[in-house]
Amino acid sequence: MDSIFSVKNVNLYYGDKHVLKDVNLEIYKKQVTAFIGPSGCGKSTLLRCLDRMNDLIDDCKVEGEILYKGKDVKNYDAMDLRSSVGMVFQTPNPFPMSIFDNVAYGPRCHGIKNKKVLKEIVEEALKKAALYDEVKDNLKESGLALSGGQQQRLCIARCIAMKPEVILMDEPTSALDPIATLKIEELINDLKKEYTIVIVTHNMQQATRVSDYTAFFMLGEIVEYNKTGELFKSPKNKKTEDYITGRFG
Amino acid sequence: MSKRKFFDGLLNGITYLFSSLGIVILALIFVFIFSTGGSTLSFDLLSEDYYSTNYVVRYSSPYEGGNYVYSPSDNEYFSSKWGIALEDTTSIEGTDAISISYIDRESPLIDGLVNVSNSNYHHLEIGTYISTLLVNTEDGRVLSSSVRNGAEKMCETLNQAQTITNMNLSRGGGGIKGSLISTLYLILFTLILLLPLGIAAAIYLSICAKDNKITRALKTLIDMSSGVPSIIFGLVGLLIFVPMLNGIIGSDGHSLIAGALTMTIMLLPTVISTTKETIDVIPKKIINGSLALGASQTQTTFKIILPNAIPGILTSTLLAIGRIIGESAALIFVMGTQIQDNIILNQGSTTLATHIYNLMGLENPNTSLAAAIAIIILIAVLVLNILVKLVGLYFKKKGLK
Ligand SMILES: Nc1ncnc2c1ncn2[C@@H]1O[C@H](COP(=O)(O)OP(=O)(O)OP(=O)(O)O)[C@@H](O)[C@H]1O
Ligand SMILES: [Mg+2]
Repeated sequence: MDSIFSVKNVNLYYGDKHVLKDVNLEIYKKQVTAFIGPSGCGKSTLLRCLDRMNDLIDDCKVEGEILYKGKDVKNYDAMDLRSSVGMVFQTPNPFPMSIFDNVAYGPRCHGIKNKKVLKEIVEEALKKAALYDEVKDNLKESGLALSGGQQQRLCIARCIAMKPEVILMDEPTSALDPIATLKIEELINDLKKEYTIVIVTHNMQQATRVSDYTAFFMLGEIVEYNKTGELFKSPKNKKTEDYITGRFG
Repeated sequence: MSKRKFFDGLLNGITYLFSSLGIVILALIFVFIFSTGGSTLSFDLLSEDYYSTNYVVRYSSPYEGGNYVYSPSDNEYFSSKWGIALEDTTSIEGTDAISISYIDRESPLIDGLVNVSNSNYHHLEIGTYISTLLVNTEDGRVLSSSVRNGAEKMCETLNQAQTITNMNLSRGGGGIKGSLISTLYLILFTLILLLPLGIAAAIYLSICAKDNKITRALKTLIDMSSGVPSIIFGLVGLLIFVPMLNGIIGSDGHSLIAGALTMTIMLLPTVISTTKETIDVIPKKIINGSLALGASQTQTTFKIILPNAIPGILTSTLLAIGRIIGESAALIFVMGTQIQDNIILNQGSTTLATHIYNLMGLENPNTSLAAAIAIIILIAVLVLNILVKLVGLYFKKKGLK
């Protein structure tokens, strides 16, 4: 299996706080990888390392290597890296502008001005995000006027419009109701044909439903990393077993 | 229980008393200003020059004289020979003056006077001031009279005249066109400097600057300096900007540009903090959302941050305009108190507020004109405040998160 990200001996500090400890991880192409683990164990932090969103945090220091397609992320231009590695946040964050402009935002920032081209990109992205049928008649309406689940799919569409290779999702359904959650999960199953997806989740069922690989984190370390089926069926580590059976966390 | 009720009632009573007292005092101020200045307020006031126009005229063909009839009032003096009445008054500048209070329709002076400078006939109007008069009598004597001798003497001199060799007239004036334009220019140039500086600084402080001691000290400094009395900024302007500008734009002391610079530094803290407040409430997740799509910081600033900061920018602009209109102390230092009709950017001039200051410093303060300008300022400030409210309401309705 081809890996797209190789995380090697990564240590991360916020000031003096040692948050990621010797993390090693391979993320495989066109697979869904889930990060699970108790709150504060560094799942979001590792996710942000992958598209260098940690650059935005003052006094965050990263040691070790994170290779994206064989090249250290440090050696990418941050904007190029983020165009290729998209991110969907925990709470939907559409921009205060129309649905169309939301999806066209990324391509526009990368210099695409042709109206026809933009229209095609937007339609395609909305279709892939399974939102097109719901909004096709009011693309001019504000993105903020959508429901939470629709907003989250809009954010996914916004990401897809950039034609990324990887989509990072940080608890994308934690602010949504079960039906909206189900829709996003179905969407993830569709998207993995084309994209590599990394998803942080607190929901064990969700991890088993959507992911191919699962990494279990605790206190900044990866305790266990395996195929999802095996990790949940026969955890090798006692801590993993305790966590997935709900004995703590 | 009843004791508690009693004290509640007492305290409420006191509150009502003081608040109604405040309102009554405010109302009285308005009534006073409107009753003093209301009658002076007119459209002409806004479009007229402050200084009167002077004419020198003569009447050279020997004039026999008519026999005009008019019944002058107490302080009027009527020349039945020429058919005009003169009156002692005070000019707009507050000095003694003699004005023409009546002209008979048949009077030779109405259209018979010749302007010395261009030899055209001068149409004489009621309200024109006469400052000096030089005439020839029938028997060849030369007589003269001026404002200092009063209207009665002027009228006597006129009565003995056969020809008028030289008469100094002045007309118009008392308007505030110059000060109005100066105020508008000051607002314009201040905003041109203030907005880019203020907005850039606000963006720097809330987005770009690292959160460290220096940044925090800077923020505190900015917050504090919005409370600095304006006269201190005026002093800074006088000591720094005025000499500096003398070298750069060739001004000689006071200038409108120095005023704009001074207003800019005076208002910068307010604009920075108001804009910063609106930027700070833009959710971080939206800004991060933009960056996570591979947009640059600059693109994020122009496409996300600035459009969302518009309410704050508009509000601070309106507030700044209000403060420029109302400012006097600082402007007296850097723009002077000399009223101008033609506004030149590298020369001093008065705004509406310092125009009032000038008027009240005259030998005979021109209270009614001052009050009329006060009304204009009050209305402008009122309108600005209403606009601020409307801006707030509009953007609240639009519901930017
Ligand atoms: N910007 C930051 N500055 C300093 N410390 C931070 C910052 N962000 C996170 N941390 C700390 O790093 C640790 C890991 O945080 P992180 O957000 O990665 O946890 P998480 O696994 O995503 O938790 P959750 O499941 O609650 O989202 C926590 O102890 C947190 O307090
Ligand atoms: Mg998290």
